[in-house]
Amino acid sequence: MIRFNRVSKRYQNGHDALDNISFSVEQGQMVFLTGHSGAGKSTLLRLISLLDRPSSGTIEINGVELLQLSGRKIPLYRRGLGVVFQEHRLLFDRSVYENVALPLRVASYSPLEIRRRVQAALDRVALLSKESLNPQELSGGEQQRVGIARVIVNTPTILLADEPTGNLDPKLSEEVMGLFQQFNQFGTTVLVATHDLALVEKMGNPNLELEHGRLLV
Amino acid sequence: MKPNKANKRGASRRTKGATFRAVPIGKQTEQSGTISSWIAGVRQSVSAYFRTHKEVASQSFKRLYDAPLPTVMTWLVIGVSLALPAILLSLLVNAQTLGSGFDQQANIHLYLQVDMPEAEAQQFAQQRCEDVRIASCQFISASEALTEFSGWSGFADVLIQLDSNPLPAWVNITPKHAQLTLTELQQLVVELEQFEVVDQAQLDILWVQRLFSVIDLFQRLVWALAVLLALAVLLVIGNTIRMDVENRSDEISVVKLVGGTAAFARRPFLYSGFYYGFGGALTALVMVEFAVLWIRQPIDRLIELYGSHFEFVAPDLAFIFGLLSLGVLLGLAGAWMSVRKYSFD
Repeated sequence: MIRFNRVSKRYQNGHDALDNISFSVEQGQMVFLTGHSGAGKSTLLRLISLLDRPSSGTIEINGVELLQLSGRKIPLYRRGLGVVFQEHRLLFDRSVYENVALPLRVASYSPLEIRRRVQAALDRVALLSKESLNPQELSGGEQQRVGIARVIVNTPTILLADEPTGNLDPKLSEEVMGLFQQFNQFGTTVLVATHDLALVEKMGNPNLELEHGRLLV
Repeated sequence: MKPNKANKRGASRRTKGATFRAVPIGKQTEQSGTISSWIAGVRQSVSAYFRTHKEVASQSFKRLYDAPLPTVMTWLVIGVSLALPAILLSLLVNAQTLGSGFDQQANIHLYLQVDMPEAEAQQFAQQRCEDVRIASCQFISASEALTEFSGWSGFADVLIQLDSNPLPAWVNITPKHAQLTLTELQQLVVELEQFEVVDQAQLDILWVQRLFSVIDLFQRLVWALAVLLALAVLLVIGNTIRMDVENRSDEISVVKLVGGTAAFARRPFLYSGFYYGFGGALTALVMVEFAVLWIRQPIDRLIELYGSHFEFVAPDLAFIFGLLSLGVLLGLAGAWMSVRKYSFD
């Protein structure tokens, strides 16, 4: 479960990215986060990923108060999260296989287990035949699917996606959303930040709308 | 929609007030509580630890191998910086060995009164030999001294015309060097000089002392140079790793995002530092060996001209091990200096 309680985030330049936000997302739910650019969607996801800390308020993830997590426990916490970005953030100095294997190497899985899981994840996103290629040799949609495979390989309990369809055409966008829905059906909590309202309407999932850092009811 | 039970694994959750840490799937072990399961767990962790190190070590090496020119350039810079003090140190060690040999040869020359009868002088010399601090005495009579002096001075024609022999008899005393310090040696000279029959006592060690002073000065200069060049190596490696960290900032942020610890993110850079240091030290070692080969022949010839049996000592195993260790230490320290500044959490 994701629970935000009166969370605010003010950056050093004085900009209020989030202002007194409170909401909760039940475990196993798929929720959209919508709003214009600068509404605070990415900030909200960064707070959940612990890439940023809130200026005030509390964030509770699966019963754990994030602000109370010690520095040593943050990596362990992040292993339970999966984050998909608009710009994929793939590493172009290694193969598709190695990109997907990274979270497992970080968590010290055995080579056999890594192979089994990476192949399963690539199979899930229909890229098993391209595991030895460099991500640069793939199309934008395929790169996004590699990013998704890297996220699901570690079977996260929460999947965060920041504008995952921003660079994709409508057909690919639907494909990616379809994948998210599949993971959600297996119990993963999915939080997708997007400004594609048409897609949100089509999917029919709950929607949290942000405007100037405030949550619209 | 109800969440799947299997997918709840790995999440932190509260049960009856207790908080459980996130455990990724596949890492869970049965909580049997037996010693054997604990040992198996430890073995698994140790094996995973070494496996990760092996992987990172080979990846870091591959990264350097894939960029041969910058790697070789860095090794050469480090090599030159380490080789220069190493060559000077090697020369210094040899000079010290040579100097200590001279120290062992220093004798005391006792010049007796000119008018002293030869029999008396000879007796005096024999008595001195009974001193426990003296290893041997060689008496040279006034006539022997004149003959010897005529032989090598080139004044034989002049000396033969003199009415009397102006040279005194003298005693060449070899002290027991192994048992005497320099101070004790000087004390012995003072004691010998106090005999009435002795005109002058000379310890033939002053030039050795001067040599030692020069060697001492040279040693300090070499160490100062070594410290400065070690600092330069530290900065070269530190700067190379810093640029590497900046170039790979995307990778670091992805590693952080997928749950990599700071140690995991730092590890490739520390291995790179290790390879830079080790490769640089190996390069330095090759340079030192070539330099020694090059200067050995003229040094041996010079020593031979002085009639010494001294042998120039080439770097031994301890020297090689020391240089390689120093390179590795500097490499790791330089890399640590760079990665320490970056926040990997």
